[in-house]
Amino acid sequence: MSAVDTADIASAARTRKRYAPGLVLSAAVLVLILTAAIAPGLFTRQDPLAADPIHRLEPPSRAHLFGTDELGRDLYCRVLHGAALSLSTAGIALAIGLLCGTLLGLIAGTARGRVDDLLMRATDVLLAIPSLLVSLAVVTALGFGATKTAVAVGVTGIASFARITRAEVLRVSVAPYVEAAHVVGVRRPTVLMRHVLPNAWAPVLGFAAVSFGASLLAVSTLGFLGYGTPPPTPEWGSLVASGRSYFAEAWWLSTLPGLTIVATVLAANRIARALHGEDGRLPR
Amino acid sequence: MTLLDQPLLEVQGLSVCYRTPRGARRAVRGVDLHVAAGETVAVVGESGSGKSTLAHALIGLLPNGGYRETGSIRFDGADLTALSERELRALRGAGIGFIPQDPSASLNPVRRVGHQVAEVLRIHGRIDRRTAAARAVELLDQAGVSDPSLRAGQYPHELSGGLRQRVLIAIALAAAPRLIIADEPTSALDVTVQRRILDHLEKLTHETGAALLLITHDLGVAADRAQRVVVMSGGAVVESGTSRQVLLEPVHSYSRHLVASAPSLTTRPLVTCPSAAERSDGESGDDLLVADNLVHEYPAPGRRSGVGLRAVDAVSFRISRGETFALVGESGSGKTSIARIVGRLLDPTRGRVLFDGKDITAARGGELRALRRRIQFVQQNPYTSLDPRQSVEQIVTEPLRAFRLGDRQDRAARVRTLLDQVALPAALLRRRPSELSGGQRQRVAIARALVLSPDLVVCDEPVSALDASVQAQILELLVTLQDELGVSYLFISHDLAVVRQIAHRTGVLRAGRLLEAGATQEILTSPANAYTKELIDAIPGSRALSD
Repeated sequence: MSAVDTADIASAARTRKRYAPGLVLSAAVLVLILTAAIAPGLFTRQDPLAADPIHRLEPPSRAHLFGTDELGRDLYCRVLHGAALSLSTAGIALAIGLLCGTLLGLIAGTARGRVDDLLMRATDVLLAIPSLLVSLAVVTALGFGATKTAVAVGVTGIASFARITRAEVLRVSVAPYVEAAHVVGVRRPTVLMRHVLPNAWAPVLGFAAVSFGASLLAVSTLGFLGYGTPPPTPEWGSLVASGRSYFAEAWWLSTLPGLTIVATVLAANRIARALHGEDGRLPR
Repeated sequence: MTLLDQPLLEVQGLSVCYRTPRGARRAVRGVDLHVAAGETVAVVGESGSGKSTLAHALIGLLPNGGYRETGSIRFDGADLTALSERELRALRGAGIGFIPQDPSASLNPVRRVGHQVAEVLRIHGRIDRRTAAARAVELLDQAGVSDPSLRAGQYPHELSGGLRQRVLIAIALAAAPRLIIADEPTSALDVTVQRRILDHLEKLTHETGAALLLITHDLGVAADRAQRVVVMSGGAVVESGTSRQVLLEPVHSYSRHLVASAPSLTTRPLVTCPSAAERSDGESGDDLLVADNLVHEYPAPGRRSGVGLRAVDAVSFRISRGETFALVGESGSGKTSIARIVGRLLDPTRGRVLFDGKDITAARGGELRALRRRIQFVQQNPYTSLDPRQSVEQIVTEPLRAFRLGDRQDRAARVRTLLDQVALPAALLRRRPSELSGGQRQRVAIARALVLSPDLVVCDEPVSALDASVQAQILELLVTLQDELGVSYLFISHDLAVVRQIAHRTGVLRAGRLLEAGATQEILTSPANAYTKELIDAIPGSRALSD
């Protein structure tokens, strides 16, 4: 073997081992935001609801990292305290989509025939309507609030999860090892839970990871439109919305919460891609 | 005579590596090889022996990540390693023809086959567009394609596997190359088709005086067709010599092992056939399984009613306790449908299956579950028949758990006994299927089938996905287990050579009909049916052994 080849291969192997800087940054951002969501007190001692009319609409400074809003509340503190609500709403929305979607997909993929047709046509209908429209319709019917926003966003995810799960269940259930399980006398439900679901889940979970960013974005959108938690409770979407009226004099009010949302969504997507396997491999 | 002194192809010290994330992996190690003009040389090896990599390296078409490390390749006096990609392209097809392995994946599905043959002629500037079409038809005719002018206008999916392989041969021979490299040209085809294709290839190379480098896993094929055989193992040549030498007096231990395990070359059966007298006494009393007039029809596509394809046509046979009954047939003969009917995975359109005197044709629910304990199945492909997420222990215990047999300790003990019986070390219990070799996986599948102590095991091509030496081990294992446990086998196979070793009785299937059935020895020595005779003649290696 020539020396050049050896060096080539060795260096190629090393680059692959090292983590991409973007991934490290994304992980850092996400850890930071998650910590803020769990314990916002670690980063700020101020009260997100305490108004201070003397210091209203102050630009970002050392005392107020993100500046203050029209009532003199510290924006940095409000963003940190809003993290918990925004992230958990997005998480619940995702969980609703994942659980209902997986269940429907599993039923459609196993039952086949009429049930399958019915469920899949229903998902077709759901997919045909823009998801924001569906969310708006649901949230208007249900009323305002964090949980209701989560349901509204979650419903839009059901169709895609059901589709993917059904396709995977169809693929796995014709696998010879599933047939083998039937032949050795394992009952149908057991085969489904022990063989079909575990082998069908990897792509579904991969898609769930990718969906988290989209879910957060959808929740923030509803918050922005005023369907989320009513003020004064801080929530990212409504923070962006409330800053709108003062945009000409206080650019930071909308921009900084908006950038926080963007950073979180990008970080989540980057990590999801890493989990999903950068080279198309699925996580095992 | 000087031309003959210098070989047409001369390979010296060739090593080929693949780049992998864990560094370079050497697939071919210092191979020396030479092929004289007009000679046929076979390269024999099992999967992973580097034979295909060698073939691709010769024409400079290594897959991504592969590169030549050392060694020289001289073709017709020119050094191929020094040629540019452009010069190599001119040589491929015109100087060296290549017949690829998989006929179904090697033709462009959206172009007519005549066009694909003509393409070679036009690329090498032999001919203009109009005459190319006519010449393509001639070439197809030469390659043994019937109705060549009709076929030339068809698309690959409209042709059978054998015809596609003939088209590939026509393409390889189109520009009259002096060397043809055939990489497993017939391993995806039925034996009788394989024989016809190889016969034809032999005739063509003889007529045109081209040399043939035949890459194959089948020692029987190599011995039949080649003047010289090169045996490869682990990327290196372990033995080379005339085919008679290698076959009759193999020197290297690996080639000796390969010769001993090639099913087509050993006539020694692993089981002794009961004599006709022995069989006639306990006629019906000892029958474990009786298949009576089985018919299976697949519905016609696109139509609700009406008769579609009749896959199984009035097939009847019986299997006694402790006996192996083999069904032999080529693809489309209905053998797998019968296996699935007996294993109750498929309902017959008509006919009955009696198991231990009871009609099980319509067994459902509890009755079917009870039956599952007594009839088990070993599938064809051990790479897909084991759940990739379960450990060996979970896989083998699963039937016991399904029937709630024994407690945790009993099950663990039973699994250990079984692993021992199928000759797998207990250390494998925690492994997952992906960490096992093909042979080990098939042993696990056999252990799973036997853990409930069934009376009948349906084996659907249990060894066709395995290398010859592993095949031999699995066959021996099946026979040993039968002696120990008294289990009966319904053995489905396309390979008469395998059946010859393992089956007490054999039935020959063709197009859904059972042509004949009887003691294996009798069928092989005095076949009553012309098709059976053809099948026997098609067993590779028979020619090499007879002279």
